[in-house]
Amino acid sequence: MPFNYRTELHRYRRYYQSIENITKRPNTHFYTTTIFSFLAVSLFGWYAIRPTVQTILSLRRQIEDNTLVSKQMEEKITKLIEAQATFQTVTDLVPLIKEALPDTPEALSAMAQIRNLAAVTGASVSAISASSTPILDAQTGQSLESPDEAKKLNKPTTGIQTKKVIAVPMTVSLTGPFVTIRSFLDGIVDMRRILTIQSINITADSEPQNGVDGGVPLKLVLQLNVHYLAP
Amino acid sequence: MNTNDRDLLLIAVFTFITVSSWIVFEVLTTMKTTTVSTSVQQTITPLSSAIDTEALMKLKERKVY
Repeated sequence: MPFNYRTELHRYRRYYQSIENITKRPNTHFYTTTIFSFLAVSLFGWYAIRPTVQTILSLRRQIEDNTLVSKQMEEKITKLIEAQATFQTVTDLVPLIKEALPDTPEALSAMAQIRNLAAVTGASVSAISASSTPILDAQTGQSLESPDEAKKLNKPTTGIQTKKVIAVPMTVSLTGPFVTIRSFLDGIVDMRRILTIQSINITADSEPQNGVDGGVPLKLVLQLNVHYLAP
Repeated sequence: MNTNDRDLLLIAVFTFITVSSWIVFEVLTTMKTTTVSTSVQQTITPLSSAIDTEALMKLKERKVY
């Protein structure tokens, strides 16, 4: 038989009175109010206040960041315009950098320059040798040693940050009097192509040549590195 | 009943403290986290417009044989 609250409510009268008494107690009233206050604040704090505050702060941060980015972009644009203007003034000098530090070893060019220097100073070159160097494409700096390597030519060239300076060891032997040797070494130091001297060995030439003027003939063995910028 | 009330009050207080701490932590994280992407940061890296013309002039004075 279903419960009819209009006729059978008196059966639960005792429990209602009991709850009524409990709620009237001041301690219970205080605890209930406090507990539900904390829980309500926590609940609304998590589901309402937190997302709102987070959105506000996130938007403020975005505005600050975007303002900063805009300011720095404007500064960079100004600097780029200045750099472009400066670059225009030195455009003619830029190829000199490639002459000093080419993208490919260009060992033959360096050897030819050393030979020409020896001819200018009057020194007699007995030997020039260089270690094995890769043959690279002059435009891209990529290796041409194998067809597979050649396929890589289609790839874009790497940035300047990823390039590194490679040294090609070279040995030069020549003879001549002291003044000539000194002129030759001065010429090496003054050469546009970047060469670094690793060792200098000067000895008296055991086989004096006829017609050498300017003092005792000397033999110079020079070990140096020729540098290039590899991709 | 008193013990039960106290327990419930403690749970409510700790819940409140936990939620408050969490909110503060998330707010601080939001404030500290930058919204600028890495690519944009790279783009806005300061650029020096100075070109070492003195070095280029020295290079020009060197000889090619």
